[in-house]
Amino acid sequence: MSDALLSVEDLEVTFETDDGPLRAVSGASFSVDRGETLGIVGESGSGKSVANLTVLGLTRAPNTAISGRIMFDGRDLATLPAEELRRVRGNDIGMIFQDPLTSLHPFYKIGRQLAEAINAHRDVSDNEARERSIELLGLVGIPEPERRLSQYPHEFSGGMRQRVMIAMALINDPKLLIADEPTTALDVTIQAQILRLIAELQERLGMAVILITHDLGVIVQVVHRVNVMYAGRIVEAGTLDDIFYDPQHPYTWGLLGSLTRIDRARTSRLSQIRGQPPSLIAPPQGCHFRPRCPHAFDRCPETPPLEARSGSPGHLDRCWLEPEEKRVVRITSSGEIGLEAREGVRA
Amino acid sequence: MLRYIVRRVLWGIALLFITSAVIFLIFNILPSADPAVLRAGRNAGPQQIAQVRHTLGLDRPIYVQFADYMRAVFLHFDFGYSYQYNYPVRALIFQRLPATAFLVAGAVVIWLGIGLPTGIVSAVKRRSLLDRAMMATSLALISAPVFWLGLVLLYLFAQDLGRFPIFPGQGAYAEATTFFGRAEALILPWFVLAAASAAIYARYLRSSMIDVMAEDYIRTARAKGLPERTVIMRHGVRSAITPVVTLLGLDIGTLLAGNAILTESVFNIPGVGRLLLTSIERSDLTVIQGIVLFGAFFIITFNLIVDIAYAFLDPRVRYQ
Amino acid sequence: MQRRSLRAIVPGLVLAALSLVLAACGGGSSGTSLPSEVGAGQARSQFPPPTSPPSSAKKGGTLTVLFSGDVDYIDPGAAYYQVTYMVDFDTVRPLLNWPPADTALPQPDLATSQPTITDSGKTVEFHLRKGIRYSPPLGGGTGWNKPVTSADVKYAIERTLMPGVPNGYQNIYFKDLVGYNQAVAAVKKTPTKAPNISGIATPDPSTIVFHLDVPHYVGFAQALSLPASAPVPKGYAAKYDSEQPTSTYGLHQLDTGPYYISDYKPGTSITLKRNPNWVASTDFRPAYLDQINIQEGFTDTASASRKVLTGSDMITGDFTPPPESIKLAAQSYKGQMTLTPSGGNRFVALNTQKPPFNNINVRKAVIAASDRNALLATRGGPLTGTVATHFIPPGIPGFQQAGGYKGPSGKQYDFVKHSSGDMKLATKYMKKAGFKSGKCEGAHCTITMVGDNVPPGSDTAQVVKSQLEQLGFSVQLNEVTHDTMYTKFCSVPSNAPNVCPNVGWIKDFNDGQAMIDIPFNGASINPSNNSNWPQLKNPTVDKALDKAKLVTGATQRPSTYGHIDDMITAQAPAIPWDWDNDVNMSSKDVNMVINLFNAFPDLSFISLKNP
Repeated sequence: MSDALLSVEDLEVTFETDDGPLRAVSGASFSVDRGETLGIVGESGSGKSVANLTVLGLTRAPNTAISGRIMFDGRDLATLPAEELRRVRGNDIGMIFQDPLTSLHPFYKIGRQLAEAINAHRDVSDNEARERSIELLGLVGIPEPERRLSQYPHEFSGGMRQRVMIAMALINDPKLLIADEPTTALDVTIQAQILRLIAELQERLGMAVILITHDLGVIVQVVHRVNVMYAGRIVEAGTLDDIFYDPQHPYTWGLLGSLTRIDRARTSRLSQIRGQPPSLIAPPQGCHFRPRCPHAFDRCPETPPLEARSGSPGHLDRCWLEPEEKRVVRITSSGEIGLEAREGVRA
Repeated sequence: MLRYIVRRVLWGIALLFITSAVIFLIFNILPSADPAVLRAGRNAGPQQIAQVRHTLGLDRPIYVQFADYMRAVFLHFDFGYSYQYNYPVRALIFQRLPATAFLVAGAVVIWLGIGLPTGIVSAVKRRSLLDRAMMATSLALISAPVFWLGLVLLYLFAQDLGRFPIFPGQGAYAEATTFFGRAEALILPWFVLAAASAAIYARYLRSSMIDVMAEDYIRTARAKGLPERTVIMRHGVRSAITPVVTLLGLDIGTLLAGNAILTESVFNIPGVGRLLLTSIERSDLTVIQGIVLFGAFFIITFNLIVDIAYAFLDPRVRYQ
Repeated sequence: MQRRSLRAIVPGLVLAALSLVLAACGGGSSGTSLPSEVGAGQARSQFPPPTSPPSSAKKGGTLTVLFSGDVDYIDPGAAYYQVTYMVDFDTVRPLLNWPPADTALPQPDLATSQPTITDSGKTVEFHLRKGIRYSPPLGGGTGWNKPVTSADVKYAIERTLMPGVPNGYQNIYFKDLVGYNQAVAAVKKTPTKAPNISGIATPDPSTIVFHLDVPHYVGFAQALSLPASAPVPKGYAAKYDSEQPTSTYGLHQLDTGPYYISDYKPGTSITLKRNPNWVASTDFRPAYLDQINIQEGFTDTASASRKVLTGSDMITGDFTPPPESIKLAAQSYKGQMTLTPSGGNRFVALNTQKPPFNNINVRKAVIAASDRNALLATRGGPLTGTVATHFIPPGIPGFQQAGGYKGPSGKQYDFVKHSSGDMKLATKYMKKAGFKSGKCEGAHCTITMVGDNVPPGSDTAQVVKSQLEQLGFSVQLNEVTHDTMYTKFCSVPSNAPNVCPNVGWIKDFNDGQAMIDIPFNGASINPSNNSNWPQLKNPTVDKALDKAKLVTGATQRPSTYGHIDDMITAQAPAIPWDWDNDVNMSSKDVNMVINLFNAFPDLSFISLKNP
């Protein structure tokens, strides 16, 4: 793992709140390499955004405790002084966010915001900055880039805005792009365009990409490896094939089961995972998924470590069940992978 | 944009008209004193009073008087005569405007210069000791009555009355002959007038900044690797300042309309506010009407300026 | 004349806040009130008004005068305030004028000598000085090059009849001129032109003759000492006088005195400079100062008084310093304050035309019950005046004859004897009026009062209210601005309340008629702008007043009016409670001179120690 471009080890992020310490990320470890796309999947509150914001140092605050190592290009970002970390942000690591309308400053023209991203890290002339901005706008597929430079964010459509954000994140040739729910606020058709764009750019520029989403259907299109997070922990990690064809964690089964597929018959109702994610201030003891898991048994109050159990070397999970059992109980009554209580299986 | 301005100007004129009608009605239906008697002089007999009333046109039906007044104002820019000073109202107001304008201008500079940085620092260092100290001070300044603050400063720092005679005191503005002499005479009044406003603007900007700094584009700015100072000033303050601009326009408009009445009284500055005070005491209706009309004009104008400025500040507004 | 705003226009809140600060700064606290009239006399004698400049007086320098308000009219033809006279006595030259120490008879100013009276008082002839020239005009322009002539004096008086020149006394003092009524009719037809009064003749440029219908020497001649008879050239002024609704001559006036008004910003400042065309040898005034700056708008009179006392080259102008400033000066700035009998009184008028005060015994009871020392205290106590016992004040002929400070003696005046009130006597009078319990009973015990809404007038009104309540009256007090009190209530008989506590009268000049005729003569009651506030209509008093107008003689006139004063007092139309002092303050380097007639500083005689 240590050769990878980004290697996060045992990251813990705890916020001090009026109700007590909130453990947003407890012991997450993941890595991503050049030319590779890592998908991080989970619902709101899983810790996926916090972990990645922490990589960039955007969660540093007086009431936040951060421990663990964030190795990037040979340096530990977790302990890097603020000014040096600033030089990494927007330069070696770029990040784009969910809502491109609110993520761009409404009062400044696009050209100005792009140039600002360049000038924060390089000493270039106005002309050079302008040229580079036009180049990037072209790269992300925006027609008439010169004209667009002098427009304001509200003059762009949703998809175009996200392209602008991508252009801005890539303008300094970062080695790693973190995309936090880049398509959630967009139409389905535009979603596909943006994901394709990210994949193309990765090929062309050879960078690493972390794609954060709650939608399994999104990652299918672009990622190589997947980490599934739940309640601050990574509960399963593996290749795309591993996750889709041999999922090892009940939560993953639930995610897969709630996917709607066009090529299958419509079932009478959409399946969902019953219950709510746990409180991160007072999480359940042991496996965090236990209260919602129909397959929980008496070993589950002991925290399952993230280990390879299924046989595939890079495929890790946090579930005490035996792999053979998993392969049985994960098939639901409709014959698909899902999360459902089964008769005769110990509960 | 041009159509917008034209429409607003026309509406402004209509507002002025309506305001004058309302004021005219108020002061003529509920008069506090009889202007004919005031003008006729002491011991005037009933005949004389009647003659004065006739000369002043006060015995005509009220709508005739109103029409004449409006015609005089809008066509000839003639606001009539002051009963107490026997002096044309327009000349009176124009004589007093420079003092008020100078007072307001200086105060604006000071309260923005103190209030805005305070608001920004307080927001950025929210809940720190500095923030709490600043907000407590601002609350004290807002609560302090203007005339009390003025008197306290006079008795502390005025050259003629104060314990530490540093600044010119009461009446110094009227005595001063040079520009710098007048400016020096206004130092204490500037601070008095600016005190409460600085505090209000500090709190307002603090609140606005706290909202703005939680916005997504601030997160983007940081993610771009911008220095924190740039994030706060170019991205944060730039957004947070727009509601303050609206407030400022209104404040300047109302101050020019005579709202500096208390500061002008305590320091004896011959401005519009003090004129308004004496005119109310003496039931000098034409002056009151004139000042109110001028005031309405200033407020409407500054409202318009602020709206136009807003369009320049916030590009999203231009498309409405 | 009616009393005007010689008092502070300080909002009540400011005063309260101020007293907090003043207390912290070590201002004196109360406790040094001197009792009784004797004590008051002592107090006054500690601060006598100087009426002549020191022999070492030097020329030069600029004096600053602090005003809280403004002059009533900048046009000398309309001026009627004492404070405006302070300015006008130095800027214009009427036929007669008042040197600082003279109060009995005015001295010739524009005239060469006292007038020649013939035709049993019906013809009054003056000779004018020759070669008097006008100053540069206020407001700039070419002015008037020709010397002063008698025609100018004639025009000055005639223009006072115009509605655009709001003169408040011409209808009293000039009405007996031959041709006056025709002139009034003429100006009614053509209000933009000054009418011709045929009774004023100008046989040659330096002679003017007044023909009267009635021998009326005293009042008429003394009226010629007021600024209205100062010359105004028709050729220059007519165009300004023809403006509507008001003449603008005042803003462009020509002056003849040692000083002229070089700048006037209403409500802000008045600047007097030496008149370059004035010749000192023709004038009794020495005119030491080079320039006088009147600064207006000092509504906080406590700070302004303190500024004068601790500063340099300043005097107080139109306001009466508040009680705490008077105490401060009395304790720490002894040589810088003067107390001068103002020639005025203050009284609480009782409406004699409607119940309950249409009953003389009820009125006597109210006066007997009144603690007039307490009323005086609201204005600052014995330093600021003396408790009045009748209506003609000290310094005016008739005062001694009416009983002086102690007041008239005799059983019929018992109700006005005790300055701190006599409840037993009051109860006796109430019973005499038919109230068996000694307090008011029945229908008319709820009474109305309209008073000032700012101190000290509001304080006085409150004390009167509580005193009336002790007699069983229930008082509805309505507090309004000074102007409203007069023009809407107290001076309008149809709308007048039962009690007007804040009224008073100031002499126009030192004569009994000027003091008690208008305020108590039944014939002078007007439907509006009425100054007989008690609305006293006693036929005996009225007849006596009419007869007294014609009385002459240095002893007969005062004793006639003194006697009438007592008659009025016996009718109990009002509670007389103050003969007040004008309080003037000056900086330590000012040689103050007070004009006794005006009871105000005399700017033509004041000099600076270090000019």
